[in-house]
Amino acid sequence: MKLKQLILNTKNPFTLTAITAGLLLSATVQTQAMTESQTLISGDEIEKTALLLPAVQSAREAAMTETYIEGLEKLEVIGKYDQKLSVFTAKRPSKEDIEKRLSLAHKLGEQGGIKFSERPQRISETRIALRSAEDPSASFEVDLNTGNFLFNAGLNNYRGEQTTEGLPTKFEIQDLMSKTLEDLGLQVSPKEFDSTQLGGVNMGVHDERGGTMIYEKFKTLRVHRQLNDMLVEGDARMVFQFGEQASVANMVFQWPTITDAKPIPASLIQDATRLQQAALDRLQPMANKAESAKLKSVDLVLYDDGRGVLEPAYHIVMERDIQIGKEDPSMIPYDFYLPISSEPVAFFPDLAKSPEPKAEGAEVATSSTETNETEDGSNYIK
Amino acid sequence: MKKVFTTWALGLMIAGTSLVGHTVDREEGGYAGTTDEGHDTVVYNFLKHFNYQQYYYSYKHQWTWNNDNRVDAMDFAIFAGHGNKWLIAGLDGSVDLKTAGSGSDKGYGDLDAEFVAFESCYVVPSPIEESNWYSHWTNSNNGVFDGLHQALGFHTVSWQSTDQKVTDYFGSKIANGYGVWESWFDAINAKGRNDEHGSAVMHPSTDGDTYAVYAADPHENHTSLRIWYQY
Repeated sequence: MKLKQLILNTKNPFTLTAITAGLLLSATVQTQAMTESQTLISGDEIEKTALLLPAVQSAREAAMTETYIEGLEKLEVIGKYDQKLSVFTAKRPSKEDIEKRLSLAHKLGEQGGIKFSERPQRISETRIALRSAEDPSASFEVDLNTGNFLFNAGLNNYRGEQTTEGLPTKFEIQDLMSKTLEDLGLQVSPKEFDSTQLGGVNMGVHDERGGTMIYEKFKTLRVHRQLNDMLVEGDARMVFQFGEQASVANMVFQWPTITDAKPIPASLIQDATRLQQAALDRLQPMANKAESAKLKSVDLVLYDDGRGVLEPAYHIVMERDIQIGKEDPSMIPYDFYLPISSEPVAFFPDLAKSPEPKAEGAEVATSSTETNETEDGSNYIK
Repeated sequence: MKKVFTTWALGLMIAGTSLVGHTVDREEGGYAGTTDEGHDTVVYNFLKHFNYQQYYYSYKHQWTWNNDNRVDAMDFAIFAGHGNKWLIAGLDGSVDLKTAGSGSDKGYGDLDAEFVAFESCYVVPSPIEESNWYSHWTNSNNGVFDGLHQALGFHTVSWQSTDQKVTDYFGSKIANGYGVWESWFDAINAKGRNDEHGSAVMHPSTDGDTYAVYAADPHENHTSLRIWYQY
């Protein structure tokens, strides 16, 4: 089935479910639907069709509650590739690389007036950190798989009710970023710079007269990465947060060095129809929870999994208007990454699975002393 | 009710350096607002860093009339699901946090809870969206700040492609004794998308709390709040 037909048919609520749920229509019904794809089949007409399978019958009933997704034609871009599709692999840092990274902590700490411990501490399966005895919010964390790091100079000097002195202007901040990279010896190819984004962090304090005092605390610059003419999403980024006298107060460096680019074999590139169908299968159930839904964007990107793999995928974003409480419906987005390869190498977010939570009725009132509810012992970090 | 702060040595050797690990483990509860959108994993990715106590789908009673057995029986409660300003949606409808403390169980903190986090869109509005960003949290007899130290969330959208990583990163940080709201912002900086902006409302005396060491509980009837927010 071609996408155009898919979309045309989704205007018909009675065929839409069959498409999205991947149900098999009987040959008779399918033929009828296809030949009449340019004209909508009324519910009454289908009601009169004696050859409906039970599955179609239930799909037809379900379709009565399905939400029309505006903008599904955006899925037509799927399968049109202007560039070579490759999976990029980041360099796995050596011991020396990690030691070099840790030495940056002291350099950055000096600037921020923070003294870090000499001995790193493991804070997750893949991350180690240097800490500060004076300020528990200060940290320098390095990922052992990628060399990515996060620096936080700590907040103790910023909790007062005043605006930070010497914050950089929007005209200065870009130069500060370049200088910081240079000072730290971080070599980043300007060719990989995509867009930048300015922001910051403020503190608001409610005063007893009913107003709010706003204090500007930090100014932030975020840099996006591109590779192979594709935007890199997922973990890829540099974030620079500047504080007192434009010093680096916080920095995220998730820009691993790429050492390998392997083209995805043609046999693994899923065809457009299959990918479009997979996208629809995910979109429709999520749209059905909304008052209205609109497919906002379908972008071919590289997904950086934060584990050292950057892989082509479509980032698909749907905007949903969902009513929560008595308020007017609010826009609750639904987004996901759809790998192009039938055998993805990267760890995409959907691959993470957890034990199921406990269900309890709305009326339940029990004790709070249930401990270690999940039977799987691997749940515990100890 | 509270577990003792435990310190333990991992004795790991990396790059020839001895690593000493510290972990904080008190009482943690997680509540997932949907059954089919991955919010269970979002909650679990926080809980897995602890010997947690509660892991439920989210229902109204947990946050309202029965919170002494659920959210307020925990030291840290986390919700993942759909939200709106001061609203969260569970399996049996939505909870209005402006009035969730109106029952006999009051709000949070009068029994135990110090911290709540909402991995949801819009739940913690900032002064950018609402000039009165504060009073709904402390409404006398109705609000949920009844000794609660900090409420963390977003004043913008929060994306489903990133939320599992945000809670994972956040959980690992506070389990290691970092500042609570500061870790929330670090997690968003490291894992969030560029239009996800965190916000954290707190009693001023608790600014600087870690999960290991925190200030005395604020009085139940205070109206004094500050907010940190990214933009």
